[in-house]
Amino acid sequence: MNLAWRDVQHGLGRFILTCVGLSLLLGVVMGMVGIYRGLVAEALGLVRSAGADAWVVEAGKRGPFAESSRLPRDTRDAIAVHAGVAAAGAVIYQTVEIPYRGTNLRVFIVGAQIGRPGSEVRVEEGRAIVKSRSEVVADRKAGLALGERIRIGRDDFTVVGLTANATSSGGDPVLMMTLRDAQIVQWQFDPSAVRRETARAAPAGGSSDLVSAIIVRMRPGASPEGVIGSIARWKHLTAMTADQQEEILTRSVIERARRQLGLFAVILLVVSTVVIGLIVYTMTMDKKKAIATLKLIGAPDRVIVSLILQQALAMGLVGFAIGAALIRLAKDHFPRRVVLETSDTATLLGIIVMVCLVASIFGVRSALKIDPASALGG
Amino acid sequence: MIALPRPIVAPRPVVEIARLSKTFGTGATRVPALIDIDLTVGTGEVVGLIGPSGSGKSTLLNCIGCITEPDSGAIRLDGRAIFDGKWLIDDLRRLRLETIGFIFQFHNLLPFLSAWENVAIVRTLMGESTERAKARALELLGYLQVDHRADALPSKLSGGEAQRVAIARALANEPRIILADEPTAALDSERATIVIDLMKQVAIEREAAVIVVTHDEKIFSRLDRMVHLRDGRIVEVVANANL
Repeated sequence: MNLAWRDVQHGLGRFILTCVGLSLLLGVVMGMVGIYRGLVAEALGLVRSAGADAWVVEAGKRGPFAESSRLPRDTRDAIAVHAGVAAAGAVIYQTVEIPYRGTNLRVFIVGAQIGRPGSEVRVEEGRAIVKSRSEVVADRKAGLALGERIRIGRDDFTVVGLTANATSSGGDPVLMMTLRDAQIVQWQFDPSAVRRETARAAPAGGSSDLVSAIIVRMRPGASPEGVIGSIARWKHLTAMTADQQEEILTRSVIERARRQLGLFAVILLVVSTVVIGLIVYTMTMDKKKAIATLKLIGAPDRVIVSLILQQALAMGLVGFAIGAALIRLAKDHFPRRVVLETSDTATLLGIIVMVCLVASIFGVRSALKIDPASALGG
Repeated sequence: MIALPRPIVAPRPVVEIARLSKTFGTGATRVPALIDIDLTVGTGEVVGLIGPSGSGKSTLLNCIGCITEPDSGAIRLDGRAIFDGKWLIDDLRRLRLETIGFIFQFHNLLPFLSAWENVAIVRTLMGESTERAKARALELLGYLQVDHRADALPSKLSGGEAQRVAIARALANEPRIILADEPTAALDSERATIVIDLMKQVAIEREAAVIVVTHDEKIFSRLDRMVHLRDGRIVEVVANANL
C-alpha cells in the first residue's frame, strides 16, 4: 500500500493541474537550454559545413563571421599552390534584406566557387547550383518555394534547391549562390548612385573582385599549424585553424547570449525550486491531521518522509515529462532553432530530482514537527 | 443492539499509574496539569475520564498514550514500565503501534485510503504483507458489521460507519489498551450507545483496557468506572453499579 500514490489518486485532478503548471515552467527551462544549443548550432553550422582545415582572412581581422574581412579574390590562387594545401575556395558572406511578398526577407548570402571548398551544400529538395548566374539554393527557413523567382539587388534569381539547418549565427536563413553573383549583389551600385559617382569623377565602388575569406583544406599529413604559420608570414593575411575560428565565434558572437540564457535558465530553476517547495509545503500542511494520525498510531518517520518525498519526486518527474513533451512539440515553431540534446535532457532530469529533494526539505521538516497529540482533541 | 457478555475472569491490570505529575510552563506561566495521579485499569474495563476543560484529561491520555512524558511518577503498560529513562522516542512509537489503539472524536480516518486500507495500514506498519493485512482488516470490519463498506472512502461513509471503521483500525494491532478521545461527541444518542457498547464488547472479548475521555452524559451509564478530574487531580472515582 503506497500512501503517496493513494493520496495522489485521491486528489488526482489537483495533482495533474499542479504538474501541468510545473511542466510549463520546466518546459521553458528546457526551451532556454535548447535555444542556447540552437544558437551554438546555428553559429557553428556554417563554419563546420564549410569543412575547412584553415581560414584565411584580411590581416588583423577575426573574420569572416565575427567581423568583416576583404581580400582580393586572386589570393585564393596563391594559397591554393601553397605547400601542404590540397584545395582552397574563396567565399563571400553577407547579410541582406530583400523585398519579398510585400515585406523584407532577411537572408545570409553565401557566395562560393562551384566545385571548390565552401560550395558544398546538402540539398534536400531540388538540385545544387550548376549555372554560374541567377541560381540560388535556399534554407527552408527562408520560406521560399522551389522554382520561385526572387529579386536580389538588380537581378532575378531562381530557387533551384532547398536545404535545411543552414543559418547564420544570427539565425538568418542561408541563400547560397555563386561567388560571382554574390560579388555583384555586394558591389553593384544602384544606377542613380553610379551616375552620381561618375559625375564627381570617382570610381564607382573601387575594385569589386573581393571576397570575405579563403577556405583551405590541407593535404593528408600536412600540419594546419605549419601552413598557417607560413601564410601568416604574408603580412596582408591572417590565417587561423578551424578550431580557432569556432572559438572566435563561440567567445565573440554567442558568449553573451550564452551567459544570458544560462542565467535565465538558472533563475527559472530557482523559481521552480521555490514553486515545488511551496507546493510540497502546502500539500504537507493539507495533510497535517493525517500525518498526526499516522504518527499517533505509530508510523515511523521514514513513512512520513517517504510520503512527502515520493509526491515531490512524482510531481517533478511528471512535470518534467509533460514539459519535455511540450517543448518537443513546440520546438519547430520557434523563430530561432531549438536543439534538444539527450545529454541536456538527462542533466536537467538529474537537476530536477535534486530540486525536488531540496524543495521537500521544508515540507519534511514541518511534517516531522507535527505533534501526534494534535490528532487527538477534535 | 449487541449483547454484552459478562467478564468471566478477574480483570488483570493493563494500565498502572502511580503518583503521576506533569507541569507545563515555567515561572509565572507554570501550570500543573496532573498532580499525583494514581489509577489502575484492568482487562475488560471501560473507564471514563471526566472533568471540565483544563482538568488534565487529555494530558493524562497523552501520558498513557506515550506522547507526553510526565515529570514524575510511574506508568506501566501491560506490565512494562515506560518513561523510565530507557525508552527512546522510536521505542515509544513502536509500543504505541503494537500495544495501543486510538479512537478519535472525528474518526480521523486517512481521507485518501478506503475503509479496509485505513484498518490494514496499522498491520502493514507493523511489517505485515498487504494481503494478510487486508484479510485481517476485512475480518475486523465484518466483526464491526461494516464490511459492506470496505472499499468506500471515508468521505462516503456515514458518521456511524466511519466511527466503526475507526474502531476497527484501533483494534487492528490487537491492542492491550484502547484510548478514546470523545469518541461519541459527534454521534447521536443511539449511535453513541452502540459505539460505547462495541468498545465494551471489545474490551471483554479481547481482554483490553479501554480509557475514554468524554463529556457525553448519555454514555456515562455504560462505563464501568468514571474518574473525575479537576485541576489536575482525581477528585472522585465512581464505579457503575449497573454493570
